[in-house]
Amino acid sequence: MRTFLKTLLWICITVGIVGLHMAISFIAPFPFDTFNVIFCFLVLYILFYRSGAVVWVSFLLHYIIDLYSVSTFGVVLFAGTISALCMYWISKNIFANVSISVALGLTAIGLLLYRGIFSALLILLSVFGSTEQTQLFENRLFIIYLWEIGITSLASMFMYVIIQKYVKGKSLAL
Amino acid sequence: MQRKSAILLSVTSIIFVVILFHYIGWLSLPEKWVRSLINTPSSYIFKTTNAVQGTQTFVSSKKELSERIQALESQIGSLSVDQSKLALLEDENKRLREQLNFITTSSIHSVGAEAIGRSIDPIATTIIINRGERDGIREGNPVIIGSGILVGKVISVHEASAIVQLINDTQSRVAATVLNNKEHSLGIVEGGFGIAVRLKFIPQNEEIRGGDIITTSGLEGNIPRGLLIGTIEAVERKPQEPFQEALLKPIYNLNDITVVSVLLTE
Repeated sequence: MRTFLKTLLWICITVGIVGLHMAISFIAPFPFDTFNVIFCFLVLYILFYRSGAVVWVSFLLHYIIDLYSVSTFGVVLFAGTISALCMYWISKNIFANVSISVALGLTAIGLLLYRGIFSALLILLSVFGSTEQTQLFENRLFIIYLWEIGITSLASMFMYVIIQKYVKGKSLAL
Repeated sequence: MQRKSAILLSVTSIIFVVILFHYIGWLSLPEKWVRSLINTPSSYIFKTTNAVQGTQTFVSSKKELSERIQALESQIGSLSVDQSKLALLEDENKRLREQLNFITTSSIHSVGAEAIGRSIDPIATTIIINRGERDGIREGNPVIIGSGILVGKVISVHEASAIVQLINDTQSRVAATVLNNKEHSLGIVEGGFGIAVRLKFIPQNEEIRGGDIITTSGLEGNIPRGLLIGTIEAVERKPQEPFQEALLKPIYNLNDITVVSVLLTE
């Protein structure tokens, strides 16, 4: 019964996160519509739970997002899951502590990895003729990615402070 | 290090297996459930967003409002002129076809659909509609508004929904023609990051001007001739280039799409 309720809770959380991600991209004006809710959630999950299950949470979230993506199926899923795995390893082996600056740094590194793997896969697929991404290196796209990294990192930092101070009640480490 | 490599390999393998299952079709049922779970709230949020954004027209001063009204009135005037020109062309076309004994049929069926979401990828400018395979929609079908304004084409179809690539998407290419110039110049309409729409590959020796109407040329199998795309706003000519380009203004505001029709072309 407990497992069933836990599974149901995770399904609700997953749908909620994806719904919030889509809602922000519809409602918010540029550049706030670039806020990546999924990555913010993944970073907070790593910082508060310190569990490798974040990889499978990321897998599920990016699987759903990939169903709505126009790029070849699998690109978003692969990029999202592998970057979550890398973020977990970085948080465990490099950023050994948990702090505001770790929230900021981990989000920025995670999104850089995500967009890097995403772009590399699209280029690889265009070489094999599966898709045409002739304007992948337009300035405007880089600007959008930079806004995404900046806004999501700041949001992660802000959310970490809120959760740490008001939910967990601990003093903050910088 | 070995352990990390093993973990990376197993995660990658699982991802590839899931991707394979997706393409085989073994995951179509759970994907259908997921889409139906997400589409309903997405549709509600999208309609609410459009309703709120549609009522907002920001004007900073009375002078700006007055200038806007004057510009719109002038636009109405020139559109009326264009409408009469179109009517003349239609009449001429009809008479010519009668003379040549053409059999014209307009047997293209269409399906009405509502937009229930927008793209969440920064690399794409698309909308999601609530009609799909079971309604007869196929990839490549043109999507129009009203009785003939092209807004995009279907690029991905699922059972009960489809993704439409708008004409201002970076990957969008539509074969087009200039309706009211002497040469009826042929070109390609390309989109640019959801902002710009450009007409490209017009030979330098053909004359195109601001205000010229751009329609589909019918040279693409799936897209019939005569669907309105936009009007020319500015022409760019570089002497060293063999082709000239034009910046287009779409007929319809592509950020304000709520209801569309999908033409079920073969």
